[in-house]
Amino acid sequence: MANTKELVVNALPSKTWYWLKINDARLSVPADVKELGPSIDNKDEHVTYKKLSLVTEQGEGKESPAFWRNIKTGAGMEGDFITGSQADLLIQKAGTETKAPVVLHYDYDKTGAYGDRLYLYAEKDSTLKVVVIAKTKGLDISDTSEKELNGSLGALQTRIYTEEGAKVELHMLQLLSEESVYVSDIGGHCEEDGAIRVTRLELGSGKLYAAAEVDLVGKRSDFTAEIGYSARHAQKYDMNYVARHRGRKTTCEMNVNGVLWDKAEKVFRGTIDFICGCAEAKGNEKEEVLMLGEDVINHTIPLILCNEEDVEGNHGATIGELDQDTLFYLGSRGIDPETAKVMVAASKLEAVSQMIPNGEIRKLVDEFVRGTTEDAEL
Amino acid sequence: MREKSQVDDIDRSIYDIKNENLDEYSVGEGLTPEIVRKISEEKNDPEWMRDFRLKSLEVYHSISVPDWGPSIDGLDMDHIVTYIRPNTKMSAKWSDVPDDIKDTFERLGIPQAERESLAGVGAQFDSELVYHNVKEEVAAQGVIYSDLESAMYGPYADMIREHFMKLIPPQDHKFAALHGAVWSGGSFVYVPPGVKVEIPLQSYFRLNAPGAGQFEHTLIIVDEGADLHFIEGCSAPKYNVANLHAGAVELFVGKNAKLRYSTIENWSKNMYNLNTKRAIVEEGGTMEWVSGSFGSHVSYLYPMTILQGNDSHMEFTGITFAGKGQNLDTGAKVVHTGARTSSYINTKSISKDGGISTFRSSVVIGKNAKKSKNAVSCQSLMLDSISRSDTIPAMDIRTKDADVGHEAKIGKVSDDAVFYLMSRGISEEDARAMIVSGFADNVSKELPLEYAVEMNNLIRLEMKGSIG
Repeated sequence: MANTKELVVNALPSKTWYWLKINDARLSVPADVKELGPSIDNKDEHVTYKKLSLVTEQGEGKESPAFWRNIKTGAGMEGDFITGSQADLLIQKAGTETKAPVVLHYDYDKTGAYGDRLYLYAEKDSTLKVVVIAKTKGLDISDTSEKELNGSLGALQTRIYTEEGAKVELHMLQLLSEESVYVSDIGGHCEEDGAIRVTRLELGSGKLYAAAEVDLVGKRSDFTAEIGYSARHAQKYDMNYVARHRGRKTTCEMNVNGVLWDKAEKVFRGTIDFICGCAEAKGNEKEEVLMLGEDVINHTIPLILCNEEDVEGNHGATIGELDQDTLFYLGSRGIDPETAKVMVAASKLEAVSQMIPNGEIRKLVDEFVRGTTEDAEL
Repeated sequence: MREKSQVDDIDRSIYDIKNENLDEYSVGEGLTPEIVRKISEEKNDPEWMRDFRLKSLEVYHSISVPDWGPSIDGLDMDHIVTYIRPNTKMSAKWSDVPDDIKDTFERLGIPQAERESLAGVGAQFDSELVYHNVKEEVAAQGVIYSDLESAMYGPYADMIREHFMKLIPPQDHKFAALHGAVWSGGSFVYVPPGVKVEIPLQSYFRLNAPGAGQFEHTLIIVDEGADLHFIEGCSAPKYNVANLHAGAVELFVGKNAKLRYSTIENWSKNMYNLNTKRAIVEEGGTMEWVSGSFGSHVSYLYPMTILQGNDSHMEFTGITFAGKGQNLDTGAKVVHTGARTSSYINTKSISKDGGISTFRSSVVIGKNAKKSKNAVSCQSLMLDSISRSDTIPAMDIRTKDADVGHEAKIGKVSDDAVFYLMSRGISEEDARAMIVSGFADNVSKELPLEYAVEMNNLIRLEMKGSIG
């Protein structure tokens, strides 16, 4: 089709059999993806806000485009399709902490293609807290009817850099209309004792491409990802998370909790990569998928790549309906199986939303959970 | 200075016996329609088989080399001899086997194992079987255990045609197509309904010629309610040129039948082991795989089970040991299509001295496989930091009515465990040796005693090093 680009994103760091069709994801995007620009609430006095021009190669260090381009993202090179000319840059001053998280709202039109870049920089021994709320303007959360894709697109590429002893907490809620495609791609780099903590709730969009890749370069650096998702109707979610352990004693923890309803389909790729030299590194990854629809499809592929002897890596996955023990326990308290399933599904999303220090997000999630669970057909 | 304890490579001297001038005929290097026709003539193929071979060759040329696994750049099909006939005919009498070949198998312990613990033995040397025998009492039960070529002309001809390369069609992948074109040797086993073969059958494959390929085909049909344990062993001496093994194993497990297929693979470290194994299981049937991968330069080996019948079951127990110069990509595949099917995959892998071990698996649970269960457990042990160990498990679940669990662990020999053993008076060297040997227990305890001993010999891990 004219004026569109076909891209390969979310590639598995180590391929497997093609017939499984999970080595990567295919994405079609308009050739021209305009900037939307966030509205920013809760600006913090210790955070500097800048528009970084990507057109010129001027600027030094964190204020130059080249600095940020060097940070790889989970979607890969082709995920960098946004045609805009600038990025929003937030810099947390050394030794300071954001009091209340800075909130960035990306409110997308029901039609059109928009893409933004967000760069987060935490100077030495600082903590930057950011909340991103991406949703479709005027979305009626209580409307649970199934909708078809209409060609609209929202995209956000986030790159994060933490200096020594610095931390970035990024909380993201995605509530786009089912008519839209959403691409949310993260790349991170941690220096010694640096940490990146990402909490994400994926609740909307007809198709979702979500990814993150974090380079744990410095000694004792850490990446934590807490991910919750709910997909219903014919929604398709494709996720790719990679933690690369390069420094000694680096740690990562990836916890993924999701619910699939109706005929929803999901791919989750999670990779812990122990690179030679990351002695005493530890990585854990856990995924729980609650399958509640007759026609749901779940793909899970948790990788551990290991080129270092002195490491500990674990991954686990549990996939299926609610287990009999839980059903029995709730049944013994007078709760019928269907209600029990809905309760547990809701609790999975609420458990993640509780980690987000933002009242607006919790309210939106509550509203979403209420709508989804009331509408549930099991 | 504290020197670390070390786990040595497997002692391979017994497998490196080389026999010269034992081959009578070879089709020469390369892969052309003429060579395939020559093989077909040599084998005295029925017409359908000749056509099948030529069609497979076409398929081979149309499929690209896989790019997702270990590199096989060192394998040049233009320099592989696909058919070599030894200077003997197949015999059911051990005394008729030529002395040199007999001596090789004697040293590998095959005749002794036959006398002591097997119901039947097949021994293949390069492209042809040189010995095939089944005990009278087993034959009297109606069990057929013969070479595949002669069975193709006997009373089971239709059965073979009905099943041959139906589970592994040439279109499946490039080396399945290669196998279809140049296969030679291998065994046919048929166990009639209700017959339980109390002691195992074994086939042993020996590839002696340098630069040669071995393409044996094993076809086993275990009929309703029957029970069989089949053991496969393989080895080759080491040469400086690439050798290729692209065998195929097709297993049909009938209603309420049970088949255990055990393999101890110890190909030489110049071998490209691109083998394909697949089983289909009918209602209430059970398929058990026990797999030890120790040899080869490169391996692609993932036995696959299709749980077609309701209430059918599969277990896979495997260990892979990758040492210097080895890149072993192993694992298992299972497809659940029947209701209430269950599968369990339990693997261990050890990497040392620059070896690369990859565990790769796929679990597919189809829409109709209601109430099915699967569990995968894989553990990897890294013995140094110049080696590599990857786990790449995939799950494709298409019904909510399934229960799927997966766990994987990777790590080194536990310092705490070593400390505990040392506090009981065991030296550090011995403590490490015990832990590494114990790691392989999941496979050795699944084998008959004689074979567990053989496997332990294979992984005789000499622990050396000075402590202090």
